Amino acid sequence: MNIERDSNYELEQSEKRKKNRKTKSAFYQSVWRWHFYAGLIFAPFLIILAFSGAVYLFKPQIESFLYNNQYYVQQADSEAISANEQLAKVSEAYPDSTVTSVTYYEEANRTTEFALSDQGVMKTVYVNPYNGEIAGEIETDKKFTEVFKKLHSELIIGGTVANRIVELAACWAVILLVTGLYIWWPRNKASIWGTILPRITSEGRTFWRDMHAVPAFWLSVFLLILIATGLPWSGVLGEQINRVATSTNTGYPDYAQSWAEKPESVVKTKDVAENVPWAAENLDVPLSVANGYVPLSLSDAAFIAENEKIEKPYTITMPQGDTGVYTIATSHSTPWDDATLHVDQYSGAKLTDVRFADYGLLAKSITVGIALHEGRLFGFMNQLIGLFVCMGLIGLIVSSFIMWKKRKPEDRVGAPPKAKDKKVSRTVFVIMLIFGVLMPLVGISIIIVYILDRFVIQKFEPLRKWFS
Amino acid sequence: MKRLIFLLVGALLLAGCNVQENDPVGNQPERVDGAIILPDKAEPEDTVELKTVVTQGEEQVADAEEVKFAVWKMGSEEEAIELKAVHEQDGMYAAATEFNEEGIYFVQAKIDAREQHVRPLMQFIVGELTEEEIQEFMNSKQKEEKNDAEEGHEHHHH
Repeated sequence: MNIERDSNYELEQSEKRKKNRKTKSAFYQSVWRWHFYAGLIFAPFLIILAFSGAVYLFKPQIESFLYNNQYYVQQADSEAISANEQLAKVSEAYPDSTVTSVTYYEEANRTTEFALSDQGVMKTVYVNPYNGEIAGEIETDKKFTEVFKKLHSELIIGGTVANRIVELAACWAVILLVTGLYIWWPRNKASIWGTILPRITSEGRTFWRDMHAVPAFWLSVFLLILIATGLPWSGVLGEQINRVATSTNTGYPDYAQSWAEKPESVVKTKDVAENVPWAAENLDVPLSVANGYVPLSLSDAAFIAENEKIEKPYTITMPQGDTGVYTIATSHSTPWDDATLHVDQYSGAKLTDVRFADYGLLAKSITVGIALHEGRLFGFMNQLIGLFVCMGLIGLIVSSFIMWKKRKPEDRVGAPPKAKDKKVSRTVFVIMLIFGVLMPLVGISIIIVYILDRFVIQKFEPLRKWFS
Repeated sequence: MKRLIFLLVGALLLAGCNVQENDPVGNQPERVDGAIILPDKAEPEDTVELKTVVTQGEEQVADAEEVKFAVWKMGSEEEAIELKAVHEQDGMYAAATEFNEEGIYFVQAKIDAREQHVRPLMQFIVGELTEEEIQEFMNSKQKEEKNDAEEGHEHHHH
């Protein structure tokens, strides 16, 4: 008896409310319908994001295991050879390559990483810092974790469109959370069963409904944090957040990011070179073969890095062109250690030095958020929580799928029926549009779906029936 | 959008004091720099004066902790010799050395002053260069230039 009643819980509830408070019921109906369609469309993407994210969380452990031979040296007792000597070994082994950056790690048994472009292929070459032997190489695109990163940010296919779809799914996940919480919200005679604890003894749709709604409630805060910390680096919304940060002066100061704009090295006049007697008489020699300032070597840059209290691992990026700079940056440890230094390539003078403390308030929160999102803010526990949330999300989607299957008629998609009250439908639509303004991609997607529905689906009877 | 702005303005007001303190890049001490002064020309066995003028902004730095010169011939950096420079006047530090053979040398001033480290590096030619040396030099130069042209964009983040 009980089970029977429970399984008809939602229906009964809405029936009841229809009699009493028609509007409220229509509102519920309408929100549920949005929740249903949004879930149906974005579930596959959210599964991809959760799965790839769960794997990528453990990047340090996975890479250490997979690339043990490249990453670690057998013995680390003697003194390391200089950066220049290591660089020379790399140039010897890869004569046609261009080294773009070098990364040093804290652990004594870790190899030095030389990122290079070898005839157009980006790869990383690992050098034993004690004897200069090449421990191995990995092509950047083929790195195991790189694949998951690409899946997580660009669905493997890559490009702007894929990236926008990922952002769209993340934004819709926010709406799913909000609408879901509304549906979950206990209405009359609140009971802990079915709200904060599942009715495990129930069967059928009620059981699966509880398996969806109850854990979703528990996970909602974590999911929201995960989405909120991921969005700042998205293409559209992230850009907006950046603009707000800049205009409120709470963002990143200039030259805070190693991949962004850089200051320039001062090219000192090589006035001594103007009167080189032999240059005129001997050969047709350009002025560069003369007295004058020349770029510093990698060893000099490494020396400067060591003197600047920068936490390892840090990366030294080579200067590009005459006015280029050496960039020393770290952002892979905990966020408090973030540092980006630009160093004049001719004198080694520090041009800029931006640390975490120099960031604006919003930039600080974004930086901490990113570390939290990537599971490196508070160590292994952070990774575990991330994994738990990802698995939970996949679980939610599975339970919702089963719940839907149990309700779905053969010939139709089985969406919750449209609310009878047109005014309520419109109100909910306007609320969704507000979300659409906050998250521009959501707005665009709503408009597209609206047009599609209005001019395509409603015009074809079979489609109309299926979606009804 | 409006709501977002309100929210952020609120956050900003709360963080008001914080923002004030946040002077991007401005709170760093002025940069120490060193200019190397070498004669236009030198022959083997000549005694050559190596000089560097250390400045911080407009100010001449007479109180450097240490100023050294490292000198090496192209291709044999590991045989570099180091010379301690002494302060002469107005931030000018000097040392003297002899270059034994003709060729391309490097002279680097290693300046540690006011908790900063600068090491400007200069190329210095002694005597006449053989055609071979010029060729070798040009080759290394060309590779460098090729490198600069080849370097792609560094992709970051997601």
